Amino acid sequence: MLKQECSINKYFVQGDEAIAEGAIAAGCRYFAGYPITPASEISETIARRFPEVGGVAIQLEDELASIHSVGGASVAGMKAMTVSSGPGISLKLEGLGWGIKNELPYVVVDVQRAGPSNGVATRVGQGDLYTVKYGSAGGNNSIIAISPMNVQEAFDLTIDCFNLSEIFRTPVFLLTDETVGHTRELLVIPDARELKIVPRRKPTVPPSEFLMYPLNTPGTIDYPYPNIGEGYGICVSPYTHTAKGYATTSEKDHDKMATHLVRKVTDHLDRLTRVQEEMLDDAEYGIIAYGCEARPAMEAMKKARAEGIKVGFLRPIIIWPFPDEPIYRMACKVKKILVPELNRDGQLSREVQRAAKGRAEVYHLGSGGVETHQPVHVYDELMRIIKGK
Amino acid sequence: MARTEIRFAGFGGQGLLLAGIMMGTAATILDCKNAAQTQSYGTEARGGASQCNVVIDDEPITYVGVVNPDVFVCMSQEAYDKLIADVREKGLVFYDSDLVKIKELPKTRQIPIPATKTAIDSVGRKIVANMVILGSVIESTRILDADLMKKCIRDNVPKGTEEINLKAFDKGRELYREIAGKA
Repeated sequence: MLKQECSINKYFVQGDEAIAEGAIAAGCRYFAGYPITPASEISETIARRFPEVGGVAIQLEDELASIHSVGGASVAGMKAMTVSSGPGISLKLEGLGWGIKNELPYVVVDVQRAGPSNGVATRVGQGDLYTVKYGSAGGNNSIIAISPMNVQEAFDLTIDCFNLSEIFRTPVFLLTDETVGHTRELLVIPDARELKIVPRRKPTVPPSEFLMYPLNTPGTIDYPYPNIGEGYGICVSPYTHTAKGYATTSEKDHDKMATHLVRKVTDHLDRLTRVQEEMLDDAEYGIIAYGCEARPAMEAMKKARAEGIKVGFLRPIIIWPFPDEPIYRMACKVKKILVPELNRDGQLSREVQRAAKGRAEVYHLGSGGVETHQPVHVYDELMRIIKGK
Repeated sequence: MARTEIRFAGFGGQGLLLAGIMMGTAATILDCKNAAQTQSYGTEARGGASQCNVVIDDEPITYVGVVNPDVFVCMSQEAYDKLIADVREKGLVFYDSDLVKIKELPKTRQIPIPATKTAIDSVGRKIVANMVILGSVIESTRILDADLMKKCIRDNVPKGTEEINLKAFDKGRELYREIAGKA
């Protein structure tokens, strides 16, 4: 007997395909990329689907060209995206700085794989947490990054990336990984009318009165971005700019720009704090994980709970800006926090340690990558730290 | 049904990934169950080690990986030697008996399915060996309804290959019934 009713708007697809569909649903109509495992399925899906929705998809000669052309498309008023994995993200970072400085709304997807360098191309890693936030030289950045843990979130959060990029006028990362990108699960695509899509905001004042950058009111968001060719005289360059967009070397102007870029994010943490919290109310111990590592971590929590051990769980969904506040609250409740992640550096655990401000002991459970931790690995390590061995 | 873990392993090009995707698609789209399918493969387009893992459950699936499969479908010696130890106690192993030499394993039921040979003999195409062995797995385990699987195969395999895929799938079911009858 066929149960057809469960098939409406439902697809059994990879996270990568869900990202492509999320981008299309968000209104993305310009895509430029350069192939790389494990992000290529996003490009392939976009290439197949864009002719149906009237989008432009280009494979350019390299990563630098692809991110710069996405910046160009954004200035021309299009919602635009580029995708890559670690080795390609390294190359895109120069273009990214240009996007941050000129406050360009666009989306970059990083499907993390095991590194450093080319590493193990087809296997998972989580080594790019700091790369996406601090990789672009010069600091003073406004990066936002969101991390999905399953196929449905890959779709939903890609839409959120586009929306936040418009609201905050900044490049936004979808920081995912090979496991999420390549896992097939059920994707439900809602009716377009049910989706909240933020359009490009346009100036309401004539060009003579419009300031390209709201540097006199640092931290301003929801600020219009005129299209190139509409008479607003758009100045975009790699150099520090004034509010009108002209290049400047003045210390005062430079600090104004840097302050605005950083405060765009730090003044609006209420809109940029999103975590998943599970069973924290009575928790004595905690686990914090993101992306693919969240799922074995939650399974380990369930196992411990079944044995009467009071374990809670927290997952950063918006991972940059880092959710300091919820993690501090958690650290005030629990004695010890375990942080499983797919790198040996201790990237997430270092941030957790900083946010915990010494209120709980923080333990790193690392792996070089290639495989996610199994639930039993997380559980065993949790038991070890609980017993203090 | 309770969480069931299925692992397909062999060489790239044998269609094991497609077999796993068919199971996951049928489970979620046609049978309203939960399923997750993961894979691992090398950088080669064909011939490298390939693995496809499927989890099917009535409950939502938290962890998507397969650690100790309930069902292991094995189409190469290399995969058998490397992965047989992971199979859960009382698990089922379906192996291509022309490609894999098995070890004695008292706690595991190992079922020989000459999938590649059957594919060549029945439809003249080695490429549908995946459907032969999938047919045997479905007939034996009843993880999913066979008619549902057939609808899924018809809807999802490349156009023009529906009939040979379905014939191979039915052949695999028959093959299992014959083997089970003898045992």
